[in-house]
Amino acid sequence: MIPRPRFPLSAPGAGPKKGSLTTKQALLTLLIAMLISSVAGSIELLSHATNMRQETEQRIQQQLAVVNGAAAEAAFQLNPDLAHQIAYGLFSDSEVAWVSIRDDFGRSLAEYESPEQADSTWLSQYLFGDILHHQTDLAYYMGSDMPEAVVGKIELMLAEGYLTQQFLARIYTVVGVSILEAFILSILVIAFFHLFITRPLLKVHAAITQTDPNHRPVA
Amino acid sequence: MTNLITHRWRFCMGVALLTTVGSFSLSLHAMPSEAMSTEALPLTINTEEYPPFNYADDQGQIIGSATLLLRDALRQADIEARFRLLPWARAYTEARLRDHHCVYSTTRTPEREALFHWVGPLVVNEWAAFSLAERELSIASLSGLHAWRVGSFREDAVGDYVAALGISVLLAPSERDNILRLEAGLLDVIVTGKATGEFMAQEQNIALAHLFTFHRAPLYLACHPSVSEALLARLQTQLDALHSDMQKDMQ
Repeated sequence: MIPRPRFPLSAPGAGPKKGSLTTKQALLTLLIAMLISSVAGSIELLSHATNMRQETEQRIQQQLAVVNGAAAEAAFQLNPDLAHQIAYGLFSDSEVAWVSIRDDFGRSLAEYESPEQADSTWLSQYLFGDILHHQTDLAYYMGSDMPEAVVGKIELMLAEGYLTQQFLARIYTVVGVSILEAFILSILVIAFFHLFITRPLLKVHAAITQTDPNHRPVA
Repeated sequence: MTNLITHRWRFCMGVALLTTVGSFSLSLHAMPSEAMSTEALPLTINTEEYPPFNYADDQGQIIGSATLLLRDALRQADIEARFRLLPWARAYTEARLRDHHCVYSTTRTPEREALFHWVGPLVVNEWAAFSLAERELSIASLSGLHAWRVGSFREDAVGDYVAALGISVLLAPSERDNILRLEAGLLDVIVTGKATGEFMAQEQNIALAHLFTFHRAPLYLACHPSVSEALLARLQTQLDALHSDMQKDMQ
């Protein structure tokens, strides 16, 4: 009686069939690779979200610091032309949805607002909700006999939709690359196992099972 | 019984009358102290670089004919004030919107009339148009300005007057900037005070040609409505006295 194998075997030399050991190995390898890539991708996305938030905040703070002197001059002189130039410079960044320069009487010297703004979503609020609004006082040194005075305020709102789009674009790239990496790695591992381990083992197994214990070689 | 009711009614009326009289007397007592506290607040007087009426000397001291007159009047009226030299738009806006702030030398226009309490006149200003002498422009009236680049500065009554006639006016932060813009060829004509244009041209050694004079306007001290009228009346009295002294001296 020939013992029945515990799992279907492929004929040595033939390609793996559905339900064969090689197929099961392949599926398992692919599953593990996908799991690892998902975990790695999630960690990368989390790290990217943190970096993106920090970079965005830092960039906006730098931009506000760069224009602070000129904006303070515009507010001190109550010069709407200069204020418009500064506000327009800030607004030309796609990340900025609204910018306003006000004098210390609360009157608007310049204001720009993006006409098309994407709707706020739970994801955009979760990711960027707390870093959207930025404002800084405009301090002006009037002279040695007078204290530094706040002559206005510059305020801006980041484009929530644009930031989320940028983030999602990054997500798609990261996820796509992770899946491709996992797939290629799995194929390589499966091919390696099939050629160097599974197939030789199956050959041995087949040879053993085809051996007739009653047929003893003559000495 | 009737007597008792009448007695009680009289008592209540007496208490009510006393309360009313008491509170009225209290408010009467409070009024002068309130007025006094308003007067006691230091007055901030803003001005700009507008020579020869008001400008800073080499040491940063604010001088000029209008300044000297105003300082004398303030001293004689025993009013304490802090002077500040600012760009005109800020000097003017602070006086318009901030309590206990004044600004000079301000042209008293119908649009501004209700916005301030006025003291003056301090001096009289003539509005004129200037160009670079080397340009040899021959423009005799405001109607001839339409084809030219005309400069003034923000919130200036002269520029506002010209702009109201439909003439396009380029605005600078100050009059000094306009003289430099004129010299750099960025402007063809500036409209300003005649004395101011001549003073600045001489100061910066630039040959300006006086094209024409188109208006005469007295200049005032314009104060935020929060400034006590009694204080301003005192100042006006001293100013009038100084003017009459000057007239006597001239005679």
